[in-house]
Amino acid sequence: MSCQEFDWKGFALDEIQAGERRGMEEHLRVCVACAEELEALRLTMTAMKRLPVLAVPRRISFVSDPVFEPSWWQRFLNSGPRLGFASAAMLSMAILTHGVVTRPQVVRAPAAAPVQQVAQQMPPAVETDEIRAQVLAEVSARLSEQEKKAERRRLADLAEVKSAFDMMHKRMNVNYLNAVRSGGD
Amino acid sequence: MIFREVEDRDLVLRARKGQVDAYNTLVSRWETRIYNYLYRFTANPEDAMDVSQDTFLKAYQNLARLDDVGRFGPWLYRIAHNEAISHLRRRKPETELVDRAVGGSQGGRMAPVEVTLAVEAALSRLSEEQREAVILKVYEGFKFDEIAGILDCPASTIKSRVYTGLELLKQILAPVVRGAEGRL
Repeated sequence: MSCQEFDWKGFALDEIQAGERRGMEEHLRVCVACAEELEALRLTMTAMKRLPVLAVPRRISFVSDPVFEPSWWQRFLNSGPRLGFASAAMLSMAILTHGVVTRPQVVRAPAAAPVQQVAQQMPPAVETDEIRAQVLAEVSARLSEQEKKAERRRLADLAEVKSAFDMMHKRMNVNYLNAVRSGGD
Repeated sequence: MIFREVEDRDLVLRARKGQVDAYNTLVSRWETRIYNYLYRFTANPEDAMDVSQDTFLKAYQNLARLDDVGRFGPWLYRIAHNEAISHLRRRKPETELVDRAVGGSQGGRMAPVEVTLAVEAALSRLSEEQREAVILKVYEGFKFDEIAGILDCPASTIKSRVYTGLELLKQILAPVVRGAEGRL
């Protein structure tokens, strides 16, 4: 096998099968030109590997990017209490549907009488004064009657007090006469 | 790797259900690799950052279209590749860094920092197709058929691109590294 047939680049790049690789390694021991060729390739690879692995200058962050946030329905589907929300939503819909379908009959209130009509129903001002005078007269009559009753009651009470006082005075005189007759003071 | 794939699969499924935390975990797990891949491909940190943002945004928006949820990584690289290509087509080519770094490296011995600059410059010398295939192979460790899936082209084409790119890189870098090692 001539030197031209050996794939030294594949050898350096680790693309050669194990069996073929062993044959190439045996050839390297006896062929200086191929050994130099492989050495040059390995030096090249070594130089290339000297390029440093650079840190990313800026963090590639996606959490704050709204493009990567799940949509509202995805968040809803993935949320824990979604069943509760769904139940509440269905209950609300049922209540609304029931309210719309079985709408109660509206009872119309009688329309308010026009202001002019009310004014016509009211009595005139002269009649109002007469009524007021009648009420005042009636109140005055009742008041005077009560005053007379109170006066009569007061006179009766005074008469009772005077008779009681006279009775007490008579008894004191009797007691005094008895005391004199018995020789005391 | 198996555990990671299992976890990625679980995170993808959770993210599909709208769990942003799961997707943020995927982002934090992959952002450094995607950013570095894009930085090496575009050779511009701002472009790499912008394309990284676009990549993860587009990945989230199209998460439902991921057929095999266990293959989130290659699928993400495929999106990053498409976004980077679109981005590079809009951007004017920049060659100043290439000329400066490569010009300084020719014929002289270089410090490790200079080796890094030389590698960046050498990568920029490759065509876009070669550079991306080499990056996915050397830095991201994908097999040829996986890269073919990411870049949507035959594995034989990927192999050709990687070999051609690697040959060019060897011609530029091997003398530089020998010089740097001799000085150290």
